[in-house]
Amino acid sequence: MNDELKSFIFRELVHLPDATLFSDDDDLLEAGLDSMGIMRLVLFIEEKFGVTLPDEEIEPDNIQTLNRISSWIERHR
Amino acid sequence: MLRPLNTADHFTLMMDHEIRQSGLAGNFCALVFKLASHPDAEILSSRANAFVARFPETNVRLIQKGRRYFWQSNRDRKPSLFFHHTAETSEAGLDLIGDIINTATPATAAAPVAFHLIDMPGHSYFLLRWFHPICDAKGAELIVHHLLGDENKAEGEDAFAQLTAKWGVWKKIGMMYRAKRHIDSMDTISSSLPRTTAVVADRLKFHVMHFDNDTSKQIMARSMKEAGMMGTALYFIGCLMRALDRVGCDEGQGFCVPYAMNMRKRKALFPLLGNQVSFLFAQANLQQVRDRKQLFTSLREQYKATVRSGLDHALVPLMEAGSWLPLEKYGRIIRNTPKGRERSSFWFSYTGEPDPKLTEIAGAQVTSMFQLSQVTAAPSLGMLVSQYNGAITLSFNYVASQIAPEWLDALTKEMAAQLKGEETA
Repeated sequence: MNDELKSFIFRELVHLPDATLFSDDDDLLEAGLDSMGIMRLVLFIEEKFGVTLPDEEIEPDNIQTLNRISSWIERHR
Repeated sequence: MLRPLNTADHFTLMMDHEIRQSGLAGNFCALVFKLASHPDAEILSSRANAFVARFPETNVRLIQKGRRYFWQSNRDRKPSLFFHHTAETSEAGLDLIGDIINTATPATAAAPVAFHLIDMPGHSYFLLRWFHPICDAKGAELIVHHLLGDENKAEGEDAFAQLTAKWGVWKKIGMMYRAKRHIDSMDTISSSLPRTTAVVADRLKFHVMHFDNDTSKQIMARSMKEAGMMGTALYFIGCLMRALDRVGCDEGQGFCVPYAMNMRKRKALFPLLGNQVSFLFAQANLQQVRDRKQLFTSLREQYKATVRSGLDHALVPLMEAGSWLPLEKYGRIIRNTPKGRERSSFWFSYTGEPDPKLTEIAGAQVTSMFQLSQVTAAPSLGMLVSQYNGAITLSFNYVASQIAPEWLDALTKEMAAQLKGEETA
């Protein structure tokens, strides 16, 4: 799951010279994921993984790293 | 050598035509950095020359062939793009900035980019003025970054062209009609417009409002709480809708605001040129505007539904179709509802922090920044929001003869209160 998320983020939303060096615990917000990007990421997750992520849960604790996003998705599966 | 304008560039050229029709200078914008001291003007002058040599596509002029517009290389002519001014007071410096943004140059003769340094006692302004068809606000930030740095040029990353190349003709036609239905549905609510005082437009003026770091933090926390992580831009839009409603607007049933959606990847240093944006509308009726909670819920839901249904991208084929129309007809369709009323209540831009970060310019420390943009009359008002080192700046751009100073003063005070969540009487 993390690979698919990572691929989407660095292919579509954020530029990183070498995304392979970005770990699952690195900070996505520091890397450049912005509000528009978060919107696109949430819609990608909902479509790809068949979950509905409540708006009120879209907060840094759930978005900050790939591992946190995965846990968030798992809680709604 | 000719380079065609992309669809979004053409959109901004149409707005250039509309701005000129309003009696103003044209679609010129500026990115202004306030500096704590005087930078080395010689360094800036030589960097400007080096920049044009490294990016010759910025040394071009606009030409028209049939209904299409192109950038034509100026390679035999090397115009100076750096201008050094002095002003005796800060106020005179700001007046000079006003003169620079209001200098009317025909579209076919306008330099796409020009750099201005204004030295005043104790500090300076460094300003990039650009002709909007050449790039968007993010591109302007990148121009300043590349002016001061030496990165090698990267090729072939036009985000806008990459996106539109994925769509076939039938898909584009389907998207175009979806976008048209979306706009038709919005036109059932007539837009409230700033209260204007005259018919003839003359000059763009600006009022810059800086918030200190503590207040900015407080505003961003409130934005997060009320509009969510995805809604920073919507928070500023919603607060201005409420502020306008409170100070009083010309009659309307709600507010409709166009805003750009950047297609560039965050943190990418290229593409430098081309408007890499689609646009969206935020709309709210008066009942929603008067209920703060309902307003932000509604704007967030609207935004999510728009992106979920692909309407943000659907507007691109509509712009593409429009780019084949004469500028005047294209402008009328984009700006006006079928009843002939202006659709946009105000113009809006939110660029956030400059990225990459810019701390100094030719030896002088940057202390703050703001942006300027010409607007059409009506709506005669634009609000450009930026941040520097966390501090928020609002730049209110307005047509001098249309907007009364007292009304603008009341609006900016009400806007500050709305951002901080303070209820005014």
